[in-house]
Amino acid sequence: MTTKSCRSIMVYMPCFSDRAVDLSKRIASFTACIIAIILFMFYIGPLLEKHPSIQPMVKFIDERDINSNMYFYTEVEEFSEANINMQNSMAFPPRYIQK
Amino acid sequence: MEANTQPNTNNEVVTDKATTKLSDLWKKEDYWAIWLGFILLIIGIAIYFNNAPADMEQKISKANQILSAESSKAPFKTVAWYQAVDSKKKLKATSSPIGKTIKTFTSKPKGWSGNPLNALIMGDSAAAAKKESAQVKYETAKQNAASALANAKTAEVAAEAAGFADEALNTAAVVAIDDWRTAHTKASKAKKKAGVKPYNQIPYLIGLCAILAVFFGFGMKIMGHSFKSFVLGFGFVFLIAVIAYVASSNATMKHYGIGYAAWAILFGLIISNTIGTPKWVMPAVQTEYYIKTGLVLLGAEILFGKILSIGVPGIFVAWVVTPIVLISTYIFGQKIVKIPSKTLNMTVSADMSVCGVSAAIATAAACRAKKEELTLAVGLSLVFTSIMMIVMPAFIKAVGMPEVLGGAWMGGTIDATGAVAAAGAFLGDRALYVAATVKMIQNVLIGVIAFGVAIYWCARVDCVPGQKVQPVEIWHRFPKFVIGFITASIVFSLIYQSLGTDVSYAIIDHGAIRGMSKIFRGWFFCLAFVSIGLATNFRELKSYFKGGKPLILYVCGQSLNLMLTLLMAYIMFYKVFPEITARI
Repeated sequence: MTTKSCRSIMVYMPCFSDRAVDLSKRIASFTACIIAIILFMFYIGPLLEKHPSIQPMVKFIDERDINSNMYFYTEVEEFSEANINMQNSMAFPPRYIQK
Repeated sequence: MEANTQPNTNNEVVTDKATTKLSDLWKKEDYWAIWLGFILLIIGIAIYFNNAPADMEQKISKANQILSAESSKAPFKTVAWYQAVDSKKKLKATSSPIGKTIKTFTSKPKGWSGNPLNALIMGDSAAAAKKESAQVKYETAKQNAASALANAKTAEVAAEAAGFADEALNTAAVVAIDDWRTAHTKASKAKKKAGVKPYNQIPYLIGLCAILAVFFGFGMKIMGHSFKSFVLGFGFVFLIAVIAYVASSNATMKHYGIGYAAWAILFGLIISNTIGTPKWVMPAVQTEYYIKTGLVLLGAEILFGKILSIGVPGIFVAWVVTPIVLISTYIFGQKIVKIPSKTLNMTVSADMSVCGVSAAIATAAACRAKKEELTLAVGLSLVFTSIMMIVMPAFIKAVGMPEVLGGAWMGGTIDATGAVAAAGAFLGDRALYVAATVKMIQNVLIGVIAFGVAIYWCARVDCVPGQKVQPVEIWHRFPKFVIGFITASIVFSLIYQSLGTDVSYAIIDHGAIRGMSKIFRGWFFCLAFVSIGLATNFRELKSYFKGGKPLILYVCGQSLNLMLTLLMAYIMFYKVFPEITARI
């Protein structure tokens, strides 16, 4: 398959748009990337998190089931918990502070 | 100026023509983002305002009476005080039957480790095995919580018997109550895990894909594009978004704080730079359309009343330090590091100083940054969030920093909110409450930052040096979706304040926001990041990183952020307002 005919199927190839790239090479690159992700997700990542400096945090996140990879406060349950506790702490503080 | 007034044709930046027409209301994606966003918000309000928890007012009133009595009874938060707060926490409109239905239908892939298919499907036997294992842990946690509660009550009674005049007994009661709260949280989490049931997400995801395809496709059709082509490509973009969510739901990825945005960009990049993005997918690669609609929804989640959650110290830590760091970093990037692209400089500065990915999205859209610049900012944030989430609590513990100070420091500096929750909770409940509240106040700042950046870019950056830009010209250039973003924020903030915090918690926080806005906004941002990846040239991305300038900017800005936030938190929480610290 020539580059021209490849482009008719897979037109948007910004990275390789200026040179002829064999379809098999592209598939090989794709496969290599997927393998790298699988290696990271199933082997390297779990291996690294066994390091003593990381392990306590890992155990803690699992135990508390914290969505530690979310981006906004409404996506994390702990923020709702913190918010209602803080609101009530400010509205109904213990008496010795009120004096 | 002329270059900026031309319509953009390469779909890389968000630009408007320097004219305004009535037809813009239905011909431009900025306005479509507003219409679509508000349709969802109005549906959310209509549903959850009519499905408030039963006897909500009476339950809130009863809880507040207990809180009032307990607060004047003891010099610390009593067991009954916490139980009254717990009773208010249960009041959620999202727990109504329709709320649960919406959650089921729009649910993202579930957490997994080992088998990725468990993110989408779990059979009866697998669910039963998981439940059996979790049930054992739950029973243990429940017993621990009951035992801790008994100890807390005993310690409190002892302190009360001494008229709360014995400091040692008071301290012992506080420690016992804290231990009970920790055990109570563990038991709650264990109960949730023990409630696992068989599921099959695939039919719901197909249904959601179809609804979103029609939802966005309708707008595309009116804007003059092919509905059929869009819908065809949308299925592919949605599929990659689902895969990104599956990857981010992996337990190990949660530990590292690697979320859906990173995976969506990565999968998109891999496809576009290896096998190539199929031509038929391109009509659905609509980054700005998805991002702007998501940002209008995000506006509803930016509630200005929340900035007072922790009083004046929180405002100083989040609303004084953050803009100072943002502006300083931007100027540093221009004058010292000499970053060629102002939009990249601003996006990285906002990403680092405000709250990571959410701020990067809003700022990039407001200043019309290129998609590669947003990708770079997200990548930097991801790396530093993972590091700071682990290093900061370890450092705070090692030096013996007080929980409140440590919480405020982490809340003001760690980019991603999820990482703030993990790092804060790791230190303790007080650290979590302060960290989360400071970060939440900082999240609210996004609205002001995005609006300010949009105005600054229209008036000062996108013009010929020395030329004065007229107000009407600013209006022509202004990214109109920001109006929807700000309007949603103001409207929801006003509703929130008028209803009061307790009722708002039940039907706004845990109704229209978490039951509608949050769900769809997450999907829209994920679709946007997939689109970014599918349309990004990896070589071009590399050129933005030339000389490591964005990294230098991030590191220098974050160093300033760390120093200023710590200083401000110490001054505010321990020198100026120690009474607020004592309440926490």
